[in-house]
Amino acid sequence: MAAPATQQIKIRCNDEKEFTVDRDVLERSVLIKNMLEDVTEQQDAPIPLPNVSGPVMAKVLEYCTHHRGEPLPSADTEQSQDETRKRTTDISEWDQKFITVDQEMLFEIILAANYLDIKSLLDVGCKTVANMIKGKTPEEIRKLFNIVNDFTPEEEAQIKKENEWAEDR
Amino acid sequence: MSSSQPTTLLSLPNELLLQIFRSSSDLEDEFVYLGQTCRRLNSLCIPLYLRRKGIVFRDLVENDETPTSYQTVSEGATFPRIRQRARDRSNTLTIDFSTSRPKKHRKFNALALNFDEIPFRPSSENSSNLQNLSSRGPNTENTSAVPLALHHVDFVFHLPGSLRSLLGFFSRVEYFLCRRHIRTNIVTLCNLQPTGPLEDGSDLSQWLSGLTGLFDAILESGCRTFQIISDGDRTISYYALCQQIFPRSRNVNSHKRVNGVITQMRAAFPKLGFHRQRDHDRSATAPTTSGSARPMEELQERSRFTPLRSPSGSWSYKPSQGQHDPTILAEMSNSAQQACHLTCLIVSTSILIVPPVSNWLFMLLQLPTCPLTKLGFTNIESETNNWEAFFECLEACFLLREKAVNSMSGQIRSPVLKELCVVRCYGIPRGSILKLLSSFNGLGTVKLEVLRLESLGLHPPPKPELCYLHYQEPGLEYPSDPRWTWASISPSSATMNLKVPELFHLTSLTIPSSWAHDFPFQQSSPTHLRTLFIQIDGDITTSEFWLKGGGTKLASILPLYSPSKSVLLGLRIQSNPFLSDRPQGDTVSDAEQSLRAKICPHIYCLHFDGGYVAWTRKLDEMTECMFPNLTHVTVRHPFLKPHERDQKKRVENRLRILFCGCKTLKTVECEGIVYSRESWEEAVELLGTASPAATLT
Repeated sequence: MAAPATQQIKIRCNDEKEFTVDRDVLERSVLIKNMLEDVTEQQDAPIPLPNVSGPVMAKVLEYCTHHRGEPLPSADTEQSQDETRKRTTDISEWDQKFITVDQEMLFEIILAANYLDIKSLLDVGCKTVANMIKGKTPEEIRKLFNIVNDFTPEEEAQIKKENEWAEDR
Repeated sequence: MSSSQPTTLLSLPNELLLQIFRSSSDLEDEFVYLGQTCRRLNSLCIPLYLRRKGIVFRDLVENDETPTSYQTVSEGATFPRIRQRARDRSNTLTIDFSTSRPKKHRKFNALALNFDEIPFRPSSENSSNLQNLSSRGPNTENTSAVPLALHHVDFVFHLPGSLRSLLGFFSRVEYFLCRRHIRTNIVTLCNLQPTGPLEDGSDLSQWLSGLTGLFDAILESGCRTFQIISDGDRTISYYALCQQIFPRSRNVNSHKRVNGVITQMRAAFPKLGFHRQRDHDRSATAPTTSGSARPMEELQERSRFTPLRSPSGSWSYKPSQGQHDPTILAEMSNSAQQACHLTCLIVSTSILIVPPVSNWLFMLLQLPTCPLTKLGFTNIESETNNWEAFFECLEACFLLREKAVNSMSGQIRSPVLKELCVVRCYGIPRGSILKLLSSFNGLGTVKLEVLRLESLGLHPPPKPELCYLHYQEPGLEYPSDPRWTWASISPSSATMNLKVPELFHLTSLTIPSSWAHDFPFQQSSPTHLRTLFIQIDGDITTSEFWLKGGGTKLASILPLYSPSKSVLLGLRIQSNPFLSDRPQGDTVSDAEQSLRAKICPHIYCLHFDGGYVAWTRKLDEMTECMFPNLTHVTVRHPFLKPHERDQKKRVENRLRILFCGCKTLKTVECEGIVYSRESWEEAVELLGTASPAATLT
């Protein structure tokens, strides 16, 4: 049986790059889904996405295309943070390969997923960063993420003292 | 997302960083390590670490007035256009609402204005966005962008820059509140201190004076609870801040329902210590209350409160790094004086009860005119001996105040402490509390009417024990006084070792539904018990509640109590204020039906804590269909004000629906006002027929 023809939607990124995408792919984004629901008439003008650049959008669309047709996470599962936490490492093989990108792109994807409200992609991004942090010392974390130590020596001593308390527990 | 600078971990807003850190259960010690990398991650990760360890910061107080959960509050901003607007401002004005279940046509009623990430400049886009938000008048389009009544408003500041830019920012917020005539309920100000020296060299007093309009605007907006969450070690500005706020809350208190100021003083005092001082230095620190002469000496004689284990002598405040700073001392003393009209003070100092906090409090409590009626301690952990000393000091303070009151002319009204609230404090020996209670008895004019204790005991609590109690009458003697009338018990695990005789005189008792296996009264019941409330979580109108735990627990408790027909069973429901409708397709299965049939006929009382939607909608479902023998309903919610004219009609409508829909219902209690069926029927007779098809709002 031939699949019904899906509506094509145009989107425009902040670098003026435009994409024409199947509606069901785009509807992985709750933001766009809501926008499309709000628009009653057919519109040819592209949907502006001022917070996403073309290269990042291309990555996001790659993800959405791969996961098209999968059920969207329900609100109940979103609310249960504990449940989410338990599923620490269950990033699928495809997702792992997909998210193997440089740090800048990774954080851009996280920001875009948050902006576009794509829960599953945001989860994958967050878990990936969490896995990068795991097992690292403060100095290693600083080096990995290029974090500048902005504590004064007194503050650092204070924090060390506080942490002694934490470690004693 | 700026293309000029690469996006890094620290480019992400706090909400996303938190989401990353929460996304893995494996991260634990890493939180501590992350907290050591830089200031920003420190402020995010250490609370997270402590939260995982069971110490919670942000939901400070669990009382009837403060719906605490941010998730609860933040749900609701789901109207697509609002979300879109919020998203469009994602780098400027973050309206952070995490729940994405679309519920069309519902306006949100909480707002978080998070400026944490962005230095604010008057000419920036941030400024104009805020201005746009403010300038949408009630008659223009798009008024739904911000509703006129906000339940919970958070201002999270990040304030570097010059005095001019700060004042520009404050005036925008002030304008935002005043221009739209926004009404608020809970307002929180976070990080309300400059993060560094002001660029133009302006001094602190100029900065503080710039806050005047902001504070006035917030208080004018009708807020009931004004929270200041103030991290860091900027002690001077904290005290100075208190001085700005407290006088205003006094001015407004009489007619604006400002119930109190909740302060979270996490790590606000690390640079102050408690040092021995020579006698001639003492005058700088003693409170200037005429009625309490030499209070510190008397305290010290009585208390042994010696955190630094110094030998006996006179005590005073002094910076611990060897610098004597009279400004701090004067400000502390002044802020205690300034705060002496507060009716509610809740102190939350995260880890340790540090001497400057406690002594500031002692200063305050000794003042003969201090009208505190509610005093609370939350999230404090300390050594047992520190707690003992602390409570002794507390006791001494009341004694001193009593003496001061007696020594003054009869024109001064004696202060009455109505509620002492100790929540999530670890290390308190139970004996200290009991001793404090007995002191209250002895003091006469200081009456302890309500006491709430939770999680008492050593840390970790060695075993669950009686830990949540309410007094209702003054001058009671624990534990054998027969006038104990009300208790709510919250165990910290499934097993419970309750001494039944202690509760023998109770008339009302609340227990959690997790108590199915260790029900306290299997052998004997308290003689005077009239109502047993079972506290439940979750939405009782959904199949999830009935089939996944809640219903089963109720079913197992019920037979244990059914022999005692003289006791009314009730459900105490801690409602989510935004309870949703039963999901479509969630039909009542046979299993659920059978559980309901087993339980619901035995329920005579319903008590709702919070839950505005529950009051307006869910209640119908429950009273009409679920509980055939319901006789009493109590609803408490900060938004319900049956006295006020605009809500009176609403309450009347609701009563009409309840009394018509549920024929067994005898009384409805709404925010302390009891409406009986008899008086309602009389009123209906007077006014003509009443149709249940009321115009609901």
